[in-house]
Amino acid sequence: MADALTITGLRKAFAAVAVDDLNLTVRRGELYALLGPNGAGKTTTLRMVAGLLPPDAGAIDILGVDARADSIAAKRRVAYLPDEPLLYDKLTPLEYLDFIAGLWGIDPATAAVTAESLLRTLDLWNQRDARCETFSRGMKQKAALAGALVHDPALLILDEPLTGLDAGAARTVKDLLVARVAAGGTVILTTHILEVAERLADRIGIIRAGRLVAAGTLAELRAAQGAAGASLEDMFIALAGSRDSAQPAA
Amino acid sequence: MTPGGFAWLVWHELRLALRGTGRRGWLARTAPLLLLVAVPVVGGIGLGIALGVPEHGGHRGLGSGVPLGLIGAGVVGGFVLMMSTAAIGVLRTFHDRGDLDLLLAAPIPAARVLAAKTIGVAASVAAPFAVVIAPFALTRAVMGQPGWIGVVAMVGVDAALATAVAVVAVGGVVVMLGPRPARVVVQLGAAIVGGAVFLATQAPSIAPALARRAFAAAARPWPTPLDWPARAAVGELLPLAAMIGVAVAATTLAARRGARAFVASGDAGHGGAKAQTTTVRFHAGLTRAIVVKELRLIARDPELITQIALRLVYLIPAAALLVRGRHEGAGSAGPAVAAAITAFATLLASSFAWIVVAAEDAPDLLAAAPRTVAAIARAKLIAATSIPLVLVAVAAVALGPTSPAAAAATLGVGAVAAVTAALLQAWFGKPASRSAFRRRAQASFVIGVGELILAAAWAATANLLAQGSGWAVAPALLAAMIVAGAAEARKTAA
Repeated sequence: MADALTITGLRKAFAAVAVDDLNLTVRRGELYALLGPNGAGKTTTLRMVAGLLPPDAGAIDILGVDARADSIAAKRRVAYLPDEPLLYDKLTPLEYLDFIAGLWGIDPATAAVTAESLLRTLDLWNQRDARCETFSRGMKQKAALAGALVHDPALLILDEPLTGLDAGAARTVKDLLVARVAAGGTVILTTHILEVAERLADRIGIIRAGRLVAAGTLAELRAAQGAAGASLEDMFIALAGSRDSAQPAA
Repeated sequence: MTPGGFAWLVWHELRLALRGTGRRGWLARTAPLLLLVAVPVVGGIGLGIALGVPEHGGHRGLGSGVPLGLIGAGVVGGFVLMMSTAAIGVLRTFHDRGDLDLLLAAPIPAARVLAAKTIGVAASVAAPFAVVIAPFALTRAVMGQPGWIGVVAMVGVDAALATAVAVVAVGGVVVMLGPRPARVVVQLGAAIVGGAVFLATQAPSIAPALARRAFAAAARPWPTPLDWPARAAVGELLPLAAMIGVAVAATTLAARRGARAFVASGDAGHGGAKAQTTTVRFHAGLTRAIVVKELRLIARDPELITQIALRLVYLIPAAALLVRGRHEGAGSAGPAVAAAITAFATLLASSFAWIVVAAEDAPDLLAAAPRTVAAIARAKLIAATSIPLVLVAVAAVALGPTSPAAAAATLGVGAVAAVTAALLQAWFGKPASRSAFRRRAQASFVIGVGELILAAAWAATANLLAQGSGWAVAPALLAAMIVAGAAEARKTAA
């Protein structure tokens, strides 16, 4: 059975090289944390996987589908949630989910049931008829997450999903991600909160200057570093660069 | 200027109002502004000098030869027009900018902050009128008619009074309805006032008999003290001093009392609309999803609707002239109506296409969807043209019984015009936020001009076709050449 994501020799350059000969594999049914300092190429990589950015070179295979050859089939299996929620301020959460269901071609009856379930899980059901423009940052993030999940993607890609969430909302989101993985889904997330990666991720990849410098379980990373008992933060600083680069993004 | 002082705060407000033009860079922001200011300044001074030195002094300034009643009507008209811009200015300054919390948290008196904001709005309201009027009026004053200074002073008085009324009225609406409904009320009110004033200025073309009667009524002398604004405008000292006194008192009162409503409402840009319970039924289909989403977003953006409506209001005088011309020529008005509807549909489709394509709020969401770019573009084109096509169809049905040829021309040419205008915007519209709608023509001068030529060409085609003239081919060819040229340019750019 194909892996959830296989990236081979991926390259993307803007004014400077953002992603440089990146090779990465994410297995089915795991929660993979992609870590790296600001500007390491995490978001560029995820945007290429989501089909938002054409790579200069390399291959992206999503659940056995060549994403560059058949981007539509690949997109059908993926949901991408950037750190800035992809929302329409003047739509209500229900209307937003109806729109997403239309985009992904989901059966209306199924979409309606899933939408209600998601909004209840994310504590947004009581606000289902309020426009998103009235929401706090955290509520918008949760509404966008519901949008990412309404078409039941096999691969969920989240860029800084916990930004702006209060402790309760962050817990809800984390539980939801763990539940998805337990149900066989695959989740890739980036985060600057290393404790989250340490506690949630099955495997961790550390990217620096567009290249993967380390990947594996926490134990594997420790073994590779020869640093038994080291925290993820210690290893991150050692692998990814200076102490400054380990600071959470603003 | 002392930081935190009154003048400093006023300058801060004016600077923010200026930067609200949205252009980046000093030169890009300032050059058009300087040009806009330079033309009326040079023109006004030139005209003032060209009229020469008055033979008998003419101390009454504007009052020389113009009935006081008409001057009074002008002052009141100016006030009403300023009210519409002042209401929008108050909403933007006190609410939208969202800096009231920041300023009130600073260790400076709240009264000073509110007064500076009020003066800032008044100055921005007066500025465009002053730029047009002051160069000429002051030149005439220097040339021996000091009464003209009254006109300049009354621009300031009108702006101050309009702002004071706007602060109290908008503040009251915010307290009563909440910030978001207040925005709708203010925007619709401002659009109605602006449109009404524009139509009033065009009354001699649209309804000549009514305009003549209104003109005669306004020219009659007004009873004292209702004639004081007019007397102030012609430079009579006592009425002028009284009007300035009233303006200062009203502004002070508005800043002290009215502006506090925005503070008391506890809202500095974070509105909380009451949610209405609605039923959302989930449906299948990409086109339906996109069309429904786009129409919902447009319907929920009153600012956008009013801006689109105002664009169409500006077409009414031209349409009225066309229709009247046909009536007076004893012919059917059908061809003229066909032309007007076609022009309407073209500009409306172009506006909607810009909104749904260039001003897409979440382009990445659509790009991430498992749909082809072409399928999404088609759905967006349908969304952009749906309302203009309904308008065209309704007009054709209405024209049908009296003028079948005009109905057919409206339906055929109007539909093609709407689609081609939408295509032009979809091909070349640059990504922008919806708030940039008013400035979209500046973003692409070529598209702006192309859109107008296209509207004129299709309107002429509809008109000539409705008359059964073979010359309809000529403007149709011009329109087709514009679209073909745009398609070729798009291919080259790709």
